[in-house]
Amino acid sequence: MKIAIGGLKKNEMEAAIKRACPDIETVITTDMGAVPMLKSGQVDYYFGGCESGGGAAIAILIGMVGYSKCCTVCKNGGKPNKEEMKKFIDEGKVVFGMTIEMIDETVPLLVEALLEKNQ
Amino acid sequence: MLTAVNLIVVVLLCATTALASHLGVACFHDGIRPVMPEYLEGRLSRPQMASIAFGMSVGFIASVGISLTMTTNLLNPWLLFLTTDILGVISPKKWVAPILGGAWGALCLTALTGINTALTFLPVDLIGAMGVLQTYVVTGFSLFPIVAVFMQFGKKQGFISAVVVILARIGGPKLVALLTDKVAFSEDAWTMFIGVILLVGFAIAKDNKTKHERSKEEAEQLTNVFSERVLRIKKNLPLLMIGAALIAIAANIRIFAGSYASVYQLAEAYAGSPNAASLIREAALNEFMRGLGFIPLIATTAITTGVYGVAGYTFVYCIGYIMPNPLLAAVVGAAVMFVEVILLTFIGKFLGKYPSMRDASDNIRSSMGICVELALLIGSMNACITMGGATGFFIGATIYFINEYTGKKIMKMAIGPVAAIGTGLILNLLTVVGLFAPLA
Repeated sequence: MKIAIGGLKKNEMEAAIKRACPDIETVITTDMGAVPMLKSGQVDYYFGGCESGGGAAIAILIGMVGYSKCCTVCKNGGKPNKEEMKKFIDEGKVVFGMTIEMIDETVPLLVEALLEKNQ
Repeated sequence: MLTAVNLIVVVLLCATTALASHLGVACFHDGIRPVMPEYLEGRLSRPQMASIAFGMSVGFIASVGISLTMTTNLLNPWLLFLTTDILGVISPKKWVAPILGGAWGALCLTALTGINTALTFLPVDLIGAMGVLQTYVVTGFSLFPIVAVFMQFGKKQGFISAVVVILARIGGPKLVALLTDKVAFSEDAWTMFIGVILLVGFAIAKDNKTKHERSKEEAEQLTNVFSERVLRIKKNLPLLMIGAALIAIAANIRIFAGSYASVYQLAEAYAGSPNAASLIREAALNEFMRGLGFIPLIATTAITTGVYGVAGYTFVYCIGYIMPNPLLAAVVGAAVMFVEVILLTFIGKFLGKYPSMRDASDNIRSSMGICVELALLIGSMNACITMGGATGFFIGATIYFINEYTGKKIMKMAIGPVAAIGTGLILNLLTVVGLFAPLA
């Protein structure tokens, strides 16, 4: 599994992914840089952080990859929910935005959900 | 604060931004912009869109919006425009949006004035403590280039930047004073200026090393695929310019500040500080630097969605601060908006060609947030200590930890000020019931 990282606090995002599963390949890029990677299959998923989880994190992806493939897994002031993530993954979402306040809480659940799906 | 002119300006401003949101012309929240076309083109219903807008913004309004305003006595975009984003979206008819927007503006201004009057009568001085709260915000903000260099280029460049900037901070003003016997810039201005130069220098050095073959195509793709949407923004220029003019007026008549980068200096200047003029100049400079960091985000989301930001690249805020009168502020503010929109395609192409600029922008925005958060937290704890000594610190820290371990409902940017306000209110309550004696 390969994940592209964009948005705010990319270093923290990468560290959180590696802590959750050291085998996952990560590539730090930008939202715009991730678009061709996703389209060509170079990466499987995109994680992005911003204040709200839906703004800078995934805005460009919504415009260029499509709204149907993007979702916010943890809003500002919200709580990450693994069941909801599983639902998103089943719906075919590949772009995941989250609030940077909750990176450490959100990433492990999301990685778990993705690993379960890909087994 | 509550004069007829102020009220009219705020009501008109909020009515305009609510209408802009209703029509999908512009919204303030960068996260609502990309969802807007889904709604305008019928893939999302109005209630769905409204719930998205509300969910994304309510945390900002309640924490950053309210705490910034309560600590500075100035209205801010999070309080006004995030709400008008939502009000515009939920309005079922075109004429409802400006009415709801205007009513919100009137409510904010009257509530602010009322709260401020009430606070002056408290036994423990809350307003003075709010001045303590902002002590290190400007210095904290000026640190952001160093943090951004650490983020983007790693340890070695980070350490080099830190050392160089500290030397420039201490040595720069001394050197200038020695040569010209004038103090041209504050230490904080030096810190930020040298830091930004280092950040840009490292970025250019890195860009020259790595070639971006594919990026040209991407740039073309970005501007070609979305040329219709750019055209849409250009068609909406009249409303955007009216909005910009009103924002500039509100900033100019000293009831509105654009962001955490400027609001505390402005509050100090407007409260009658002896060096008000230089404080306002530096507030405008900080706001301008922050605006630069936001250009890539706002430009690319605008190009891909056809929805612009109500304040554009936020340069209209600076115009408001520095213009000599409201009329001039309005004219120049509208002109700045015009130029921004006309240059949109050009900026889109430029950003496509230099992907490192976007990367830098992400890191700059991350680091600005991190630096101000730290400065505000420490300032807020100092404010707690000013009001209540160790007891004040105890109450403030308790509020901080409660938030930390109950799902962080209040954002990092706001938890410090919220803790300080909470501490002030609790100390006053304790004083009233005779359990606490205000410090001399």
